[in-house]
Amino acid sequence: MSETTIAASISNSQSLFTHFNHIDPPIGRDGTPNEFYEALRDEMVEANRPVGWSEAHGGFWMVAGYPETLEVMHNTDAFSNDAVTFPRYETTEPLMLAGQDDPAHKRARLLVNEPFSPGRVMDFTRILRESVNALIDGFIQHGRADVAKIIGDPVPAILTALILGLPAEHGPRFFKWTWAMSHEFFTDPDSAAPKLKEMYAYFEEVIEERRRNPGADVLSRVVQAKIDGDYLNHEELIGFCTVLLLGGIDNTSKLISTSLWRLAWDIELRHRLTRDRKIIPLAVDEFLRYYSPASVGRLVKEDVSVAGVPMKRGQYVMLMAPIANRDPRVFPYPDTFIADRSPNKHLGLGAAIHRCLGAHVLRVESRIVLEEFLTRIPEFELDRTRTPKWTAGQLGGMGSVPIVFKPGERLSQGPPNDGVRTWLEHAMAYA
Amino acid sequence: MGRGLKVIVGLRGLTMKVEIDLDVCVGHGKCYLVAPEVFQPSDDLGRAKIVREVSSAEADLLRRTRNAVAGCPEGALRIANED
Repeated sequence: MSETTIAASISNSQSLFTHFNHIDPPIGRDGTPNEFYEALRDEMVEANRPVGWSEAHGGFWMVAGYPETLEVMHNTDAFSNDAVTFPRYETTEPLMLAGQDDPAHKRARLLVNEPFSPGRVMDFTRILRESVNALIDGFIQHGRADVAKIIGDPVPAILTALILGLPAEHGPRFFKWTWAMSHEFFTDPDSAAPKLKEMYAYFEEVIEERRRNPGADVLSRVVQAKIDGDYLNHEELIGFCTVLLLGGIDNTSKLISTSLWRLAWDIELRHRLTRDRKIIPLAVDEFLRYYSPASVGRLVKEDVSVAGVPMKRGQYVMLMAPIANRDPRVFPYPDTFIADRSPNKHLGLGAAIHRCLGAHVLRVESRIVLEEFLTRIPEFELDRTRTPKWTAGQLGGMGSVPIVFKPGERLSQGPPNDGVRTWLEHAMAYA
Repeated sequence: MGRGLKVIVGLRGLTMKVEIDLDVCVGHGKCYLVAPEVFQPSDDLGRAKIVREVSSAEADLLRRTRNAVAGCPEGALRIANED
């Protein structure tokens, strides 16, 4: 939907909620759906209507207000995570963690909290810095690159592989499978199906291998763990693999790519972050607020009402983080990107029991990417001969960010490690 | 209320004490992002612990600690001696 049609639908006094499709939101002049989210937010404020109804996907409630979103996230009695992906990702195994309710969710989460804790995540900072610099080495002499393809996509895939104890050189495959689960399945199911099949075969082999030779990685931990005296069954183990892959790669790659896209044209912001490194961690959280990649669904378990709107058992609910994060009741100047915004209680990573498991991972990851990138390539701009592309979906963000810059020197003369090398080859194939 | 109390804290040379409700904290980690001097991660969930008080002389830290308390999405933090 273009800007004029957004305005037209308001003037027809038709609610913007009515035909809202979170999988494919209208893209505004800035190249993101934010303009539309802000229009929705304006409607919510003017009509005092923090909850609306959309006819898309068979109908669902859309919760747009901040306090209301938080209320639904906390009310796990009435709202189930059974519909956290809506429409559902086509996976045959249960979606562990994100798709579970307590007490099953709690038992699963306790298994994996430790490897994702702030202290453990810091173990990966050195290798992250090395990998980011090796990726930059791969293109810095060219003076141009699609930084979504060559930084945003690889970094989370490499780190997720390291945390899961999988070979980093399989990163491009992990990325491909994640894409098949979260996007391709909806646009081209025939081409997604064989990829998912390949993924299942891969993880079956990994699980078998971990049973025989357990290590210190997350998957070994899950394979060996007992819940209430029983080992996890095959479907649950596969479910763990897929959810950790999805959670580790998709969101963070979009967050990083969108951040680099913003920095390519927002010169003031870029200079500020270059000058004052201390605010980069706060800026990461502001990127999360302003460009929240993820919106999550819920299934109504028992009749309940939110902001006076009655919801019936069996209905679907979408919690729209990018809209809640623009609620003027909570955020002063909500449509302004304030790099060091504080307090910043955005819901980009959720809240309550399902708050993002990888919150500490993605913060460190994003911070290191920004620090290293701005050190190596302090001046860059969007490549005017090409167009950045927003990737819509339940997880939205920049999928292509072509930039140009003054060519620089490689940092390391040696060959990159295998994880980085395969990504460089992979990304060059798209260049 | 906040501003008035700041004056009182300043005049009397008091310290600000923060409390955390660990049943409510789920480990967003925003507090130790904003005021790492006061809040630190303490367990596998990333839940916070409070490691020190803030004196009225530390204007910047006082401000950041207030922001951390105000910025907790779960409302798990409160300033103990400010009622």
